[in-house]
Amino acid sequence: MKSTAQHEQNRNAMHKSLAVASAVLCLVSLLMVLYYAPREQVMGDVQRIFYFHVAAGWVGGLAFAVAASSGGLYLWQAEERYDDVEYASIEIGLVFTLANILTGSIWAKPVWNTWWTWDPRLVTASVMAVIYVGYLLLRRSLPESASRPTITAGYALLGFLSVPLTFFSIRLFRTIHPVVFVAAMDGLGMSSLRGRMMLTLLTCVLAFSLVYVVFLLFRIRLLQLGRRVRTMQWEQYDRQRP
Amino acid sequence: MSEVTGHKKRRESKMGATYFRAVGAVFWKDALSSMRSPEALVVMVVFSLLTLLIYQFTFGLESEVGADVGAGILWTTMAFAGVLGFYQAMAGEREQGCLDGLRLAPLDRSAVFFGKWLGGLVHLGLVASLLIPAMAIFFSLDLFNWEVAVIILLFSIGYAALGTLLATMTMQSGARELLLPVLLLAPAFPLVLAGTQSTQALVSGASWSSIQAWIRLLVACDAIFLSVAWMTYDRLLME
Repeated sequence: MKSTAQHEQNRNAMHKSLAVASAVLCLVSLLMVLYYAPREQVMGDVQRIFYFHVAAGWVGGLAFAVAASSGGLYLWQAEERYDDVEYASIEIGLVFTLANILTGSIWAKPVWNTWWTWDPRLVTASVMAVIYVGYLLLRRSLPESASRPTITAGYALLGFLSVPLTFFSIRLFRTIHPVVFVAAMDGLGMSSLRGRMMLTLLTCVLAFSLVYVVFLLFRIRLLQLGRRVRTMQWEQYDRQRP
Repeated sequence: MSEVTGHKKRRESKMGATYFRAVGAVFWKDALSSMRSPEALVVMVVFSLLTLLIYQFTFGLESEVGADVGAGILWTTMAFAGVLGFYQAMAGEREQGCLDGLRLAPLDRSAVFFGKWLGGLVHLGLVASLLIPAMAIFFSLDLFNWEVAVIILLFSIGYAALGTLLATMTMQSGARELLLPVLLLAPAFPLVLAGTQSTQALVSGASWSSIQAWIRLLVACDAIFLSVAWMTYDRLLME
């Protein structure tokens, strides 16, 4: 019993230090975005939102990939922890995807002169968000039974198809969305991202990824605690029954 | 132990003719029930025609609908009519313990999926065979060629797989008829996109070889949806 308490204490301490590290890294990346990264020549200061926009998009894709892998693992081994990772990861991924769409929209207003346009990247990203909203709706509508994790794992796998489609949409279709990571751009005389801008972007991506890991650990912990509370409630109920 | 051997045996039978007979039996069961009470089919036909008419109204009665918009109308109508068919195919199983009967039947559960999937394919085929002449009559859109037939077949293979799988998933939820369209139409997006884009290109005079990227997307989606369904259906139906 003591070792379990000790283990939990260690885990909580690790979670806390990770949370502090992610907060510090977020602050550093914010300062880098505002003061270290150079001012973009054409767009001006509004371009600075790009660092958070890309980082949020990256975490969205990463979270959905983690969810699909956990879904696959659940179908293979039927262990509860994979279901927890899948659910927690999709919740967090959806928040970051919405942040990605929102920051994109804020950037688009001064640059494209519209909040929204029917561009392939925007459409595929919105479809991806709707798919995962559907996942949450499906999960909430299912009774808590043995079949729920199987059903949601299957849907997480199906839904993941939208992630590569969103990522490659700006390479497959004719689009006005900027393509940033293309080696060929240098050859065409266009500058790909480098130097201070690249370093700032990498810091943002790292900071957001760490935030994702922290959120994931806390959310999984919350799911486990919720389950423990329900078990205790049932035990209490059993004891009180005549 | 006996369950493991039973499971193994069921897997082995997949290769044999028994498996295909089981698929046929499930399909025939649904086909018979559809023929004996054809309300669902009639509703799908009326719904499809109504959708075409509503589209014409919303674009304005005097306006000429171009080939590109026409292709979009065809595929959205197919997608919407499909939702009705998939829901109906599983809703029938909920009544009078039919689902338990299917669960207890001595056959591989993926055979139940393929039987249902075949039924969905036939339903979509019927809707398409109604829509193609209707598009010619209402929108003067000539879609009577083998290329469109292949695109419709590839679309239907993936869409029926996705629809059957999701209808089974939502059957156990509290809000099944509400949830199915939301869950189905979003993942079906690549199918509808590839169907619309390739048909639009064909109608505006593009060659078969120039739409290969879309055909590949359709084939990839078909493969993914069918394999996910094949992997999970056993467990979905069991629990």
